[in-house]
Amino acid sequence: MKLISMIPVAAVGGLLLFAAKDFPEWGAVDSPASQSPVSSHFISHTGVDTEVPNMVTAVLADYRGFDTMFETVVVFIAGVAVLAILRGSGRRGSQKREFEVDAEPDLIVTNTVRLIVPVIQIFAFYVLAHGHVSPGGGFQGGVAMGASFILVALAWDLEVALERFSISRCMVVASLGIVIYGGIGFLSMILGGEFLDYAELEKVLPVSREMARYHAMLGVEIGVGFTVSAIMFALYANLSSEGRLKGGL
Amino acid sequence: MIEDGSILNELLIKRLNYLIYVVLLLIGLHAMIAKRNLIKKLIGMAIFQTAIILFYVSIAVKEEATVPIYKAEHDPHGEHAKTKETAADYGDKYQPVALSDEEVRGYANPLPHVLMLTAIVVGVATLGLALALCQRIFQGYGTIEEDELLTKLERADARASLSPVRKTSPEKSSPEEKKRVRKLSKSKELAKEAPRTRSQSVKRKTSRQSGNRKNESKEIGNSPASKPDKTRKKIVSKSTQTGKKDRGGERKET
Amino acid sequence: MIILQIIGILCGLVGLVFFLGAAVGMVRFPDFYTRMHAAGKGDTLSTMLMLAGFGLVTMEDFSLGSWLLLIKIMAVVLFIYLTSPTSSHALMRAAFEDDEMPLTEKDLKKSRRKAKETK
Repeated sequence: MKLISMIPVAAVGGLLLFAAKDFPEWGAVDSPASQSPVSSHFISHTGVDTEVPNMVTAVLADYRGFDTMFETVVVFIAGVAVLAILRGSGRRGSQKREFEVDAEPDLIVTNTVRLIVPVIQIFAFYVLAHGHVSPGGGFQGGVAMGASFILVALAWDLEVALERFSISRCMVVASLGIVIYGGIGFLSMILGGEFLDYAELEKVLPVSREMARYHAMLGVEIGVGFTVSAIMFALYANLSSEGRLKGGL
Repeated sequence: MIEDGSILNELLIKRLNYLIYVVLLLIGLHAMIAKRNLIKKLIGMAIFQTAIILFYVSIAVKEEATVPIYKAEHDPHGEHAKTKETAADYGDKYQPVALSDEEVRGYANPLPHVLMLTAIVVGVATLGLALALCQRIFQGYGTIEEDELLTKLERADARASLSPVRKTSPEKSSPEEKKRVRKLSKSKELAKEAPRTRSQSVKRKTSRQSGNRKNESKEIGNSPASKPDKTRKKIVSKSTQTGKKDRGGERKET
Repeated sequence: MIILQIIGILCGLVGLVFFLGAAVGMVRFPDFYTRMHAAGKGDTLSTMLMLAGFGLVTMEDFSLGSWLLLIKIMAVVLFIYLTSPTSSHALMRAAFEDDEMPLTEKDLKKSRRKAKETK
């Protein structure tokens, strides 16, 4: 079986290595991907169109905003699906597993976490809000935010973390994120543009067209951050406790 | 051997990065094909994904280029803006200017980075979903080894085909009867497929508090995989004896 | 400032030595607690030293940018100083709760005797 499995692996490897010599060299300036008019347009016109210094954020939230919106929806659906898969099993087997041990929350760990969690959360907000200027954005900030709640769950107990951020609240926050994203899209539609055409928001914001896109991107990133942070914590809470939402890690 | 133009030179010196990605990808592919443990398959999937992400990011690299964030002199709010404003050719309504081709060459390609950012996010979502499915499979069958799972499913199928309910030839009976029979056999199959479900055994415990405790604790304490097949057969045969009862009744009987 | 850079490179090298020690300890030590000892202590110190080395190497001129970078790196050092020992403590504690017994002289003697008997 192991040997038979090597045949397709070797075949794929041979094909890929055969194709590798047609790929551009490391760091080639004239590679097809870098020469394409799309990416050069992104590099040259991001400043003109949106006044955002970070091109990745601009492409992610503005040029490819539709893609990112459904990206967020994918994350949301994954969270809902995990809830749906593990829900029923959790209710029935709400008794302790044999490998679980009773342990008090450790003093050193909890105090360190007390110290660290606010810093993590501030850093998450910084990454989220500063995503236009430096590496960062909604996904990264959201993950850092979710990690802070996971840290609380690790240090104390899952129940303690769920008291602060229960699963129903997670779902509310996650759907709120998508509503923010879609709402900005619809707002720009109502104001006379196309869906997710942020430039139209200049009619309600006291700024120029470019800065309207800049600020709308921040709003969109906040929506993404909401969804991602809530879903990350919901995923952890469900997976670590097999859907029972108590005990666990 | 590694002179200019030979394949080895191409692969090992000029395009070493692709060789690394191919190796990573093959490790992932092999894990996905050959490993029997579902979690190991998932690890293979993650490695596979990493190889593709690295490949895309390496496509974005340009020689002597920096990260795709505007340097201070190109920043729409930075020095660039100030000099243009002082030039006064643009009036008081200042517009940032597009970069020239030469300046574009100084920035790495942002598009693959964006695509891979979304790919990573989708990867996390699918990985979480897959782990949840694995947990559910473990709860239902007591194993995440592929071959054990297959034998269990086969056994369940074989039992279902032997069961007396199926033998009442469905083509002779009326459509209502057929429906009823199908429903029954379905519920039976369900009960058989997962007779060792932890949750079910827990329920069994609660439903027959007065029953023999010893046997019960054995059933719950033993891990499902190591449990001898005898007990399981007993349960199944009992459930076949109870005949045409619905699931709840059956559970009470056992 | 060439002196600062030399100090920074030295810091990095010393950090690498400690890192090597931690890695060797992880492989060579006999039981869980001693291994965690090697990993927790060596890893923390080596990471801190290496990061401090990076910070010093980047202090080419004393411009605002390099000061900002140094402050950021020092913040990372501070958080590693806080979190890395805590995480190894948490792992140790988990092992202790799980009744993992530390290796004692008795165990060593027993295993030596066994090895002799098998010979």
